[in-house]
Amino acid sequence: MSTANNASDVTDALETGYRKALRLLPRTYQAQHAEEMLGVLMDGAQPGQSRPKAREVLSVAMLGLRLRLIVADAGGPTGRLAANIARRAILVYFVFEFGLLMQWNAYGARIGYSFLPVLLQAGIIVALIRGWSWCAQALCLADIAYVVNNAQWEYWSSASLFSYGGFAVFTRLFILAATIVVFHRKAPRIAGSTWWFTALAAITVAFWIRGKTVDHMWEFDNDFSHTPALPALLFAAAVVVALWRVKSSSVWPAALALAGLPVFGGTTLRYVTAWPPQLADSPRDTFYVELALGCEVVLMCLALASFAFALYRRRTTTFRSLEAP
Amino acid sequence: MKPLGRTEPVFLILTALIDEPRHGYGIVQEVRRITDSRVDLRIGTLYGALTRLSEDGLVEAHRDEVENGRLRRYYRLTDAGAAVLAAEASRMAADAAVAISRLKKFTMPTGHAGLDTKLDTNGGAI
Repeated sequence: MSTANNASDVTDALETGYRKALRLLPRTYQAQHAEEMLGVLMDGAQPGQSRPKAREVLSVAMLGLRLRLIVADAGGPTGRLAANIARRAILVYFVFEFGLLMQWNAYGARIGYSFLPVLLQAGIIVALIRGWSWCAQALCLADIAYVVNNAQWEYWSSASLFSYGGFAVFTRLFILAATIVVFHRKAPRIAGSTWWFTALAAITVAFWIRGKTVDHMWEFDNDFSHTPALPALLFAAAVVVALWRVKSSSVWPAALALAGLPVFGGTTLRYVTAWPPQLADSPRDTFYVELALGCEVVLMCLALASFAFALYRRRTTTFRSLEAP
Repeated sequence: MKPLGRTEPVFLILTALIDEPRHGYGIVQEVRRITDSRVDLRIGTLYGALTRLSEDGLVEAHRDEVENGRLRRYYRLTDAGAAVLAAEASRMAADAAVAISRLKKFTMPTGHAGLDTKLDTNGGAI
């Protein structure tokens, strides 16, 4: 009797463990497959096994990751939403950063700065808008190689994610890697290519002109605090778009908030570590930097609000469908 | 017809479903048997493949049964799946035939026709 009870306890513990592991899967996938997967895992367990095998848990975790990132578009509404947000956030980030790169080159070109990152970035943006995923992935890999090759070695030996230069490098590598994953072969082409190309052209021209007229840039990087008025204007425009969409969909508010997150990197870290020299004598530029940072905070709040609206809508719809005869 | 162009586990899963519908653990056991325990499918690999194959219409859920309080969902090969598997098997057989025929002509740098001998001792089979 006692042996039977022990065996039952062992089985229960194992089942509980595997049930916990299966929670790593997306919710919609769990609803469809968790019970049968549990059966497979329990059938494959060794006699007396009381804890899940690490390799099976890892396998479930990898499947969960793959379902969320790679095949999210074929999954439930949550997966599609996450993929839609991620793709738009990445593209917005690339377009904005392309503007900064153009500004940097418009200024730096006078001293013969290399045009290679601009070409890579332009190629990635065009490939993403046109839906050429293989081309975009290849260019992202080339860009990763370029960043790794060109980052000074002290970045790797001494810089961390929280240092000024290190943040820029690690953020760039992370976003390029995320692009390779999110814009996968089966990902749907992003809508509104005319709109995207128009936005790209407008931002390019605006930043190019700004780069040609700027008096001095202290460092040749893509820190927007050199010319903060234009980025602040774009952040304000992003807030307007997010406000416009906040009640109807979470995609744009969340995408814009995500795309703007790197603003807390370079600029904010410089506030913490040392006052940016280009802002020391310019209260107006300081105001623009703070305006951009403030807009990003507002964007994050709007993203949260849009999720709250979506949750409210879903509950209301569910209750109405339950009430319907 | 869309080529299979997939990994070995996918090929083996489709092969395991040729003769009869099987549930998840049945597929794992059959693949183990087919490959003489060389391939041991992990749960994530199995269900990742089944999800993709279902989306592509190459396999489909056949029936659900409850045994010992556990759900067993049986999967079966569709006609499209059988056709794709047949095409892939033919392609692999053709590739293998080319490799075998070239290996027979291969002379090792030391001058021994070692691979020829190995192939002959197996009766020409891999």
